[in-house]
Amino acid sequence: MNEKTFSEELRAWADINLLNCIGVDECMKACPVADPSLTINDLNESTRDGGKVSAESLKFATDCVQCGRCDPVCPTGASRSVMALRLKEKMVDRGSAPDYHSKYFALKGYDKSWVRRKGFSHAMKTKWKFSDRERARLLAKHIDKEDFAKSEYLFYFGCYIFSKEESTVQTLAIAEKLGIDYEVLGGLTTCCGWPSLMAGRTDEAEIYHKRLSEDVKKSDPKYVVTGCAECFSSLRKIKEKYNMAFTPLTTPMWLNMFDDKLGLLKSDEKVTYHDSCHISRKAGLPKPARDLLGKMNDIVEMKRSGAKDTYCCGYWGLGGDPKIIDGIARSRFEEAKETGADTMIVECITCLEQFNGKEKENPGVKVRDIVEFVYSRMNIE
Amino acid sequence: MKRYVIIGSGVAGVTAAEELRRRDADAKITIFNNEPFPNYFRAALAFYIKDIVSEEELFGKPPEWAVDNHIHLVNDKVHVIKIGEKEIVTEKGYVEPYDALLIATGASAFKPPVNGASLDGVMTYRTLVCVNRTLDFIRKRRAKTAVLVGGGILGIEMAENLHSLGLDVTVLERGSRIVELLFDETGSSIVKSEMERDGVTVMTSVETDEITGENGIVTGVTLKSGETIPADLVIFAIGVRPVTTILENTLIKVDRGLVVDERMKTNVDGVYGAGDVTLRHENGEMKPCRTWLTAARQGITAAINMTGGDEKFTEIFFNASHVYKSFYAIVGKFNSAEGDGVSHLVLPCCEGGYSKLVFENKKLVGGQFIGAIRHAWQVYHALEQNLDIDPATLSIPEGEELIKGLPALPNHII
Repeated sequence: MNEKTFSEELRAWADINLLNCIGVDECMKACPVADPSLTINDLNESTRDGGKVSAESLKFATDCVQCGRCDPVCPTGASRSVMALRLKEKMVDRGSAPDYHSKYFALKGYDKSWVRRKGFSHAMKTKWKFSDRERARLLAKHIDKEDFAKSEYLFYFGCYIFSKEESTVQTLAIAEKLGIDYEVLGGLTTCCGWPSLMAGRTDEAEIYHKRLSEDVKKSDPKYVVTGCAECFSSLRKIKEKYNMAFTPLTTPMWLNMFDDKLGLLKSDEKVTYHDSCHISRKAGLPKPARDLLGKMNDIVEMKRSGAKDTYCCGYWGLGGDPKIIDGIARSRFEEAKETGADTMIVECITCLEQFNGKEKENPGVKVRDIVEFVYSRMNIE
Repeated sequence: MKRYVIIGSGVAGVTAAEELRRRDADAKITIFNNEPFPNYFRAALAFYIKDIVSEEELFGKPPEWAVDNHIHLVNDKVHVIKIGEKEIVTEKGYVEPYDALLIATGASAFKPPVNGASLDGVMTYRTLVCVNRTLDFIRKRRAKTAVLVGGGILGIEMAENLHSLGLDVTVLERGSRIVELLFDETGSSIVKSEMERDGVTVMTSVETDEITGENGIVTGVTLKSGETIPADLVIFAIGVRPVTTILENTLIKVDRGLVVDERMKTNVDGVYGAGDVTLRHENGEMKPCRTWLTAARQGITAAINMTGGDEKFTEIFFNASHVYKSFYAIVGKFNSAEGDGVSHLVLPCCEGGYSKLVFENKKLVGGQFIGAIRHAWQVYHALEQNLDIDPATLSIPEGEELIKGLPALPNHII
């Protein structure tokens, strides 16, 4: 069992990676957000313990979304993404770390009383409880729960229970139709810790990880299913860190387990698929979504796709330079268009949020959530 | 105020300086550097030759590094080390006293004393100066053919560089196979066939007799067998020698390299060594430094001990880079032959790749990897945590997935 804190581990990893850097610049060439003027020596000096942090490196630290494109291209196998996380920590030391959590709560309806587990969550819960929409009422009972029934499947919706209502409701509808034993974990109290991590607040992220692990334990599931790639990363992290028995699943991995029951309808329409960095590249799981889609449609691949080469959607929800984010989205839409497909399927809620928000400026390709896509093609008796 | 002097601004020297500064905010730290450049990424030279990295991008530290870290970087050659007075004197006559001295003068490429070795167009491959000289020569003489003497990792790297510049390249290896120190026979033959597919000629079990030339310019290499291979350019890549000239006539012990113990101390009080100049004596074995990572870590160990700490250098060997056009990595005891308690486990790998784990008495001790190198880091972390890994407990992945049973990589799990 690893007794080190996340931050201590990170420092040790970053140190060995820094010493291993031989300066060939491949990581920066692969990076979707780095400014070409940022040099490796500046970046390394900024990252190392005791080194001076330059303004250019700070900009990079803020913009880095941890897509991990930098890692497989390094000839020494050094991980720039780990070094970038360490650099993010230094933003905190300098007092210049963005406060994404305030933003996070603001986005979902900020109320300073969130620490008392009230505020927006509470308001939404109350509002949805008395809503005349059935689906709102369905979700309301799951927000910020404290008690969990033991179940085989735990659906971890985290904060996207608020932002992508269709996806969550449809996930539960599929679960109902499949007749599986499930529980739901969602709301603001069980954050996956990603906003903290992206702000360099590693210690804070670790608190969220711990809290998440405790909530998962209460339900003691065999599988934890999530539609968000960042949540999936955190699930993998807590499984390893706290030596937990559950298996983390992405929604396609879960749906693939029931493919014989879903009665998926085939279509001649060609679709393209946008990989999630955290799922395809970091977890090494480019296949499950393709397997699932392959049962319904032919997939035409984008120029940059798959575990090694997939290109980030440019977004993680809260931070980043809008110019860069827009540029990345544009290039992704263009690649999708080049495939000739009219539809781009995404499996990660974050990618979905990014592309949904940019559809108007980039006409010609329709973006669809994999859950919604499956839901529309299901034929369960 | 303590005074630290470092001779050499390679990776061992500058990493030591950084560690010294971290441990002692007030000390005076002086680095003497006799290359006309500041510290640079030697291993990126291949990328520089192929014009992927510019000369400015080669530099290992930002221009303000010395000033920001209050380090005196002096471009001057150390002439004498006065052990009794605890001071050094440079060629320009500059005298600098020290409380602790670090010798990190590195190594230089070896040119054997064969006939014709001093002809124009006979080069080595080690420093930015050699590389610039070679590139100038190719341009000026419009060199079309090149012979690489030495089929080690640097020879292969230079062969690839020159091939990518459009030269016809022949590699001469004295041993029976190339990159013998890094890989087993399977690994060597994978690299060899990749080179031959590109049209690079690889000759093994051949020895250079002399370099032929006309009007002072190289024209080819004559082998001991009598055969002559015409060449516009000849590069020696047959190993390096520690640079110990300033240690001559001192009491500091040199035996093929600067002799240091596991604390990076030399036989003289207050004098330390790190990096390629050293030969580490450990349990009766002599270990050269050889790699970038080891040099950097030795610099750190030396700095800790120079500031009064007590740190032993423990090495988990790790080296990774390009071998020809593929990534490679070697970790731990990567090259132990099978038998006598040593067993190997070959993993299914990527196309054209090769991965092998090495076990001693059923405990993981190292591995060698060509093509996909992420497993190498898993092995590194396992060795670092001193995990008892039995081959039977590993679940072997398909392709490049991580090996289950070895530590996961941090970057795959964040």
